[in-house]
Amino acid sequence: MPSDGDLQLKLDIYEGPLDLLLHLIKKNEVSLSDLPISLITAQYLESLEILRELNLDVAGDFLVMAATLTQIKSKMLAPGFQAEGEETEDPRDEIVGPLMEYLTIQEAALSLGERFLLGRDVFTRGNREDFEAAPAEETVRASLWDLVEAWRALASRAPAAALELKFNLETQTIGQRIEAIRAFLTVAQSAPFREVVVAGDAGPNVALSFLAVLELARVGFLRLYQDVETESEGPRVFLADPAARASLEHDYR
Amino acid sequence: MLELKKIVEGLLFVSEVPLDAAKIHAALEGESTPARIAEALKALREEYASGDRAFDVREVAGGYQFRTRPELSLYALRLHKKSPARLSRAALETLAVIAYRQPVLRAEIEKIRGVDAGGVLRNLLEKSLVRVSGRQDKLPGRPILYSTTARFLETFDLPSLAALPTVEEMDKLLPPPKIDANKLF
Repeated sequence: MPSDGDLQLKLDIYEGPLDLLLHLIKKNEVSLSDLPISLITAQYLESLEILRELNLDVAGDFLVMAATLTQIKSKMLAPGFQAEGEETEDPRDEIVGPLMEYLTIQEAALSLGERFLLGRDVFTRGNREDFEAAPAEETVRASLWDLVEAWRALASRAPAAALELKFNLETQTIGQRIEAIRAFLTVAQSAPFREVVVAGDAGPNVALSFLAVLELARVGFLRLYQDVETESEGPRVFLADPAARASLEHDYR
Repeated sequence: MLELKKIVEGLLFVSEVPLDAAKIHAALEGESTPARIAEALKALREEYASGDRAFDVREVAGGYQFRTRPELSLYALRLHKKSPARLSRAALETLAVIAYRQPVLRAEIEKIRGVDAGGVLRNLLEKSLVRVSGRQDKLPGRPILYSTTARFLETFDLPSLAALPTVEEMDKLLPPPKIDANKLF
């Protein structure tokens, strides 16, 4: 990473290492009761690497989990384990227990969310519901990991040069990319993520576009959604509420 | 005197919050008994549930309240010019931990979810879905304990905490474990 022109991004990542692990477990359709630790560890480390390439602040918790996973993996490879399988303690228990517990809580959260919610499904007389408003589109919010997946897919299609995060004077700045995407979205209102990153002559600056999209999401100019119906197309990018846009005065040029 | 059922119906209509039997009893100033009030409430609930109505008498947070039926939500939202109330996944998960483990420490919530809970907790406190219910005196620093509120029960259409699905019931919702990962070692 170059030191000047380096963009620092901070996202609200509620999802922690356990959430990333569950994401990988679900994606690979493997069982918690017999976790393929080599596979999961490899993919976990790969995801962290992608986050780091994007210069996202990888929290310490993620690194602690990486160390734990690696340790479990080496314990499992050590001679003696699985030889007399029944007696020895399974090293994977260290993470499987917490994962099970978190999975139970996720299920509980899901069943809470499916109840007849006041202000969403049922209403009383008057109007005293005051939750955060959500856009009316038929979409669900995509997680950070969906975004990482989108980046991975993008990276496999785009020419290698376009993905390099070099800040040459001849090419565009992140501010120019932000302005281009702003202009594009103001007209388009919404578009697939893969179209937004190449908006307005991105040239070899796809990686810059990606950072620009993240920055615009952070300041509330746009929102990223994964449409249930068109999942194969990747996340969609929506313009945020007019009110939210009006408050965004920052000039990136 | 008016028919008791009619009085109870009127009081439910007037009340802005879920109305419990004790409050109805107090409003009647000895003109009725708790047993007869309970009977009237039951009759009313059945009447509304079986009738072709737009709303029901729901038992929430230890009281009773008129609530529209879910099929009306679209029109109610349009009337209020509002988007549906929404809680993030992080908020729902944090609420789930608190609901099932209360009173609970912030550290316990963070251990289960594996992430910082400060922002989400503040948000839930602001929305009155969660409250500070005490302190854990046995631990150094006497950390704060969190519990859910009556507003939580109102929001999630729950008569009481006992009405939450039990963990055993939840286990049944989980997909059965798959046994196919052996070859990956």
